[in-house]
Amino acid sequence: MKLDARIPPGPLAEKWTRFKSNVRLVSPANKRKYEVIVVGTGLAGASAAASLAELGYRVKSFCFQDSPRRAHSIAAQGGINAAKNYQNDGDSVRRLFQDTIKGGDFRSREANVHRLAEVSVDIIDQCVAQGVPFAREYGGMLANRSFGGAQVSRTFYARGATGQQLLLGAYQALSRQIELGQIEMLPRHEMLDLVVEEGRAKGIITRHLVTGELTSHAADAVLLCTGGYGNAYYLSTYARGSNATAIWRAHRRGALFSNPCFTQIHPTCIPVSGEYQSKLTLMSESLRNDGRCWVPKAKGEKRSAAQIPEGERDYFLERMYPSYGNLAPRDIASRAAKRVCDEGRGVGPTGLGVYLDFSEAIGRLGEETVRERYANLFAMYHEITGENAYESPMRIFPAAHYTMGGLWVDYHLMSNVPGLFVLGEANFSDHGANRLGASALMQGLADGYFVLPYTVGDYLSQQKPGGGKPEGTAFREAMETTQARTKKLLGVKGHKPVSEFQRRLGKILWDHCGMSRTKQGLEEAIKILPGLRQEFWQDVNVPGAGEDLNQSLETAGRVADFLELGELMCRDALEREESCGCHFREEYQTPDGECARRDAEHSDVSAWEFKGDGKPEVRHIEPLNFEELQLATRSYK
Amino acid sequence: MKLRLRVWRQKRCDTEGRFETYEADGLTADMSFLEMLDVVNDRLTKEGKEPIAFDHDCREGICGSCAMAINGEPHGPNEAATTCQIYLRSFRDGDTLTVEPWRARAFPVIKDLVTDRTAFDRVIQAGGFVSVSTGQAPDANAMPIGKVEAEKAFDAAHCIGCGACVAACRNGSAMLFVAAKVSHLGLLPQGQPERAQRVQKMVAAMDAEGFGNCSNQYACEAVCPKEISVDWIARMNRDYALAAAKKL
Amino acid sequence: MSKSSIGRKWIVAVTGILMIGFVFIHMTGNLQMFAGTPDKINQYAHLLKSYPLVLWSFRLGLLATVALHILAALSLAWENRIAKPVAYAVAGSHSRMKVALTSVTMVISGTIILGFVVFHLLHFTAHRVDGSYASMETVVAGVTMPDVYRMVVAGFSQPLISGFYIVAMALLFFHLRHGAASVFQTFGLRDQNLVKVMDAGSWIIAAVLFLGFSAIPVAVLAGILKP
Repeated sequence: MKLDARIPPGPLAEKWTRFKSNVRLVSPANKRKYEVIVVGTGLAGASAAASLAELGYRVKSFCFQDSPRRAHSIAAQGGINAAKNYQNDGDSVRRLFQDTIKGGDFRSREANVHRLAEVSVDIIDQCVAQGVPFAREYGGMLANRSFGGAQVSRTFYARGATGQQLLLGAYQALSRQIELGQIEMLPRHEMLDLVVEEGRAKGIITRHLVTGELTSHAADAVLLCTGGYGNAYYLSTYARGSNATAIWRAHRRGALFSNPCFTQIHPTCIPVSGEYQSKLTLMSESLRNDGRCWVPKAKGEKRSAAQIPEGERDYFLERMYPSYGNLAPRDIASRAAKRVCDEGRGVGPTGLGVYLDFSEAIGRLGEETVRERYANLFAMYHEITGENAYESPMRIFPAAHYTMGGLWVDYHLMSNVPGLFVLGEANFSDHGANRLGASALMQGLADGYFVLPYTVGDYLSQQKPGGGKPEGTAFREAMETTQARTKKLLGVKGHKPVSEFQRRLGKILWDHCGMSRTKQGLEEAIKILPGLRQEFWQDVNVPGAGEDLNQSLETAGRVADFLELGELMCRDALEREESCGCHFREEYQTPDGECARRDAEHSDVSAWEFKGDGKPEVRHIEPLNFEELQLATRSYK
Repeated sequence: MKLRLRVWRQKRCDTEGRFETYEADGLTADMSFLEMLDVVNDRLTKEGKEPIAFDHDCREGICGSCAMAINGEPHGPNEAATTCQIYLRSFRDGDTLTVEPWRARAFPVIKDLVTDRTAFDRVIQAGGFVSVSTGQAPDANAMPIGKVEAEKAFDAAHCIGCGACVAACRNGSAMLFVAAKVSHLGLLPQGQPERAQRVQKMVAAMDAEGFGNCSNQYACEAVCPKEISVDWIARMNRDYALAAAKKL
Repeated sequence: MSKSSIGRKWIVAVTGILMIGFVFIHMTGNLQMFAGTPDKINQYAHLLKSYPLVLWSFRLGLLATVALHILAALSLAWENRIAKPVAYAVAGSHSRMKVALTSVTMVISGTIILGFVVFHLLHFTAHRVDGSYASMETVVAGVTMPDVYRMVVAGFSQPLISGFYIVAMALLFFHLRHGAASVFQTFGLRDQNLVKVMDAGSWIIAAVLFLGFSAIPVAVLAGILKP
C-alpha cells in the first residue's frame, strides 16, 4: 500500500500558508447541507465541533461522559506551548518546530510539526478571547514558564489546571453552538463502530449508555477525537473511561494504525501504593522547574530523606544531563529514574520511586512563592499520600501518560479511509517517538480550531451532501456486528470480572512493552496475549442487561479492544529494531545507556493494516524525509 | 480495615430505590473511596449480582464526574475534595457509611448513584460563554488584565461542575455554580459586551431547570471541592439587578 | 424581574429593609415611654393621628410592603420545597452543612411574627383585646387625647401578654439575624472584608431591636414604668 501524506509542495515555512490559499471551499449556503460527526469532546473534539458549527456545517457531537466538559483533556495540569516569544528569550516558530522534532527523536513529519508551531500562536489568542484566565504578570501581560525539552519559556498556564481552563473555553464555544442549534450534542453515547460505505466513512454506530439503545448516525464526514490508548497499561494517568474503542473499531474497518508502540511514560507520578490501585496521579512536569530529582548514592539506603546528607545524594538528572538538568525530556527522565531504581537505589516502601525535592526552591524563593506556583499539586499529593511535600520531598515514579501512536493521518489529518479524520491524541501525527510537555494541549487545539476547518472543507467540497444511507447495507452490517458483539459479551457469563483481565493485560504490557523493551520480552508477550484474549471471551462475567446503564458492559467492550490493541503494540515494538524517544529497545543502546536510533533502517512511520480476526496485521511504511533538519543524535547533556 | 456500607440501589429513574447493606473487608487506609467501591463491585460480580453504578472518570478531582453523598455530605467528609479524593484514612475501622446519590429535583437519579446533571450544561448553553468565533481573536497581549483580576477570574472559573453545591443545598439551588460562571466571565474584559445579557439568560435557564432558590445558608461553599466562594453569589445578585435596571 | 428567583429575592430584601426601617422608627417612638413623663409619648401618638391622610398612606404602604415580603418569600420557599423532594437518609454534620437554627426557621419565625403583628394591632390599635383602652384619655396642654401611656402600662402589667411580646421580639431577633445578613448578600454587598461587617451588622440590628422593644414590657413588669 502506498501511503500518500499529501504534503503540499514548496518550502517548509510556506506550506501551510500556500495550502490555505489553495484549499477548495464549500460556499456558505452549501455548508448547512453537510453533516459532520465529531466523536469525543476533549480539546480536539470540542474545538473542532465548535469551529465547524461556526462555519455553518451541521454537527453531531458525541461523548461517553455525562457532559462534554468532562473529557480527560480537563486533567492536563502544566500548560500549553506557543511560539509567542513574549519573553524575548529567543523563541520562534522555527525553534518550537525544531524542539518538537528533536523531542520526538526525529520520528515525526516535518510539515505537520511546522504547521503546529505556526498555529500555536493563534491558539493563545483564541483562548484569551474566550476568557481563559491564563496566569499574568503584574503589568497585565501573559506569564510563561519553562517545560521539559526546551531552553526557552514558552509555556502558558493557568495555575495547575491549564487543561481544565482550555477545555472549558472550548466547551463554552461548543455550548454556544448547541444553543444556536448548529450542534446536536449527544452525551452518554459511546461509538461502537465506524460505517464505511463505498470506501468512505459515512457514519457511526453508537450505544446510548443509559438506555442501551444502538443507533446508526449517517454523515458526510466523521471526526475521531477520542484520545489515546494508554489505559492498555491499566495503571496510568488516564481517566478510567479513556479507551481506544473508537479508533480500534475504525482500524478494524480499514484505518491504518501508526506507531502503536510509541507510548509515553511520564516521569513524575505518585508511585503505586497497593494491589487494588485504580489509577496513577500525575504531578505536573512544571514541578521540575523548581523540584530536584535525587536518590541516595548508596544502595539499600534505609534512612529518611532528611537524614541523608547532601554529599550522599545523587541528583541524577543534573549529573547525567547537565545542560537540561531536571528539565530533561520525559522519556529521558523516566528512563533515568528507572535506571537508578533498577540499581537498587529507589526510595519508598516499594523501592520504585525517586525523590522530587523542593527544599532548595523553598530556600531560594520562600515557601509563599512555591505555594503560589504549585499549591494545588502539593495539596493533591498530600491528599493521596498523607505527606507534606513542603517539609519532606515528594516521591515520584514514571507512569503511562500519553500515546504518540494512533491512527495514521495525512497532512489533512485524514486517515487512509476517505472522510475519516482523526485529531488530537487519537492520531499519530506530531509528536514522533516522544511528546514534549505542554504540547498535547497545543496539538489538540491546533487540530480542532485551525487545521480541520480547512481540511474538512476541502474534502466535503468534492462530495455530494447527504451521502450516508442509514438503511443501506453498510449501516445494516455494522449494526448487526455491534448487536452481536454486545450479545456475545453479555452471554459469556464466566467467572472473572472484567477488571481482572484489564489488570493482567496491563501488567504484561508494562513489563514487556513499557519503559524498556527486549526482543525476547516482546515475543513472550505476543505469545501470551492470544491466550488471555481467549480466556476473556470464555470466562469473563458481565452482569446485567444490555438495555440499561451497564458499566460492566462498557468496560468489557473497551477491554476486549485493548486486548487486541495490546498485541499490536508489542508487534510494532518488536518490528522497530532501534531505540528512539520512548521506544527503548535494550538491544539498541549507546554505551552510556542512551537511545541508539537506526536511521538507515527506521526513519519511518509504521502503519498497520487489519486483515481480519486471527490473521496477522500487515505493516506498511511511510518513509520520513527530513528536508529542513539534519537527522542528529538527540543530546540533552 | 472494615467498613459497613449502606448504598442506595435503584434500577432506573422510574423505579423505587432502597438501601442495601454491604460489608467491605480487607481494606487499607491508603485506598481511595472509589477503589473500595471497585472492590465491592468485583465481589458483587463474582457473586452474580449487579455491581453498584456510579459516575467516575479522572479520579484526580478535576473532571467533576464522581458524585455521591457519604453520610449526608456531598463528596464526603473532607474539605476541598471530590469523592475520588477521599481516602479511607478519613474513616475509622468499623464505621457505617451511608452512600446516596445527589438529591435534587433538577438532578434525577438514573441508576444507583448516577444522576442526570445535564441541567448544568443547559444553563451554560443559555449564555455561559463569550461569543467569539475561531479566528476572530486579537493578539493575546493586546488587552492587559491585571494579575489580581486574572487570579480572581481563575478562582471562579475553577468550578468543575460536579453539582455538589446543588446536592448540599437544602433548596437544591444552583446559585453557586451559575454565579461562578457569571463571575468568571464578568470579571474579564472579554466578558463585558455580553455581561448583562449573560446573567439574565443564565438565571432564567437556572430557574427553568427547577433548581431551588438561594436562602443564604452557604452549605454549597462548605462542600465545594474547589472552594468556590459564595461571594460570587452576591456578585451575581448585584449583576442581575444592574442588568435589569439597564433594561428599564 | 418578579418572576425570577433573584428578582423575588430582591423584593424580599428591599421590603425587608423597609420594614427594618419602620420598626426602628417604631422603637424610637416607643422608647419615649422612658421620657419621665407620660405626656411625651401621648403627644407623639396624638401627632401621628392628626394627619389622617399621611397616616393612612403610610399604613397602606406598610401593608403592601408586608404583603410583598410575605408573598415573595413564600413563593420562594414553596419552590425550594419542590426543588428538594428527597432528603438524605443520614443528615450530615450540622456545622459542616451550615444548618443554622435561624436560617432554617425563617418561615416559622416569620409566621409567628405575623401572628404577633395582628395581635398587636388588635391590642393597641383596634382595642379589641381590652375594650377599656378606648376610654382611656388624658389632657395635655389643654388638648384631650388618648392616654397611650396608661394603655401600655395596663397591657404589659399582664404577664401573659408581656411574655408573648417578649417571645415575639426574640423571634424577630432570630428572623433578623439571618434576614439582615441576607439583605447584604442579595444586594451584592459581600466580599472577604465586608462579610465581617455584614455579620456584625445584622447581629447589632437584631439585638438593638430586641432590647429596645423588650425593654418596655420588662420595665412595666419590673415596676420601673408605673401607672
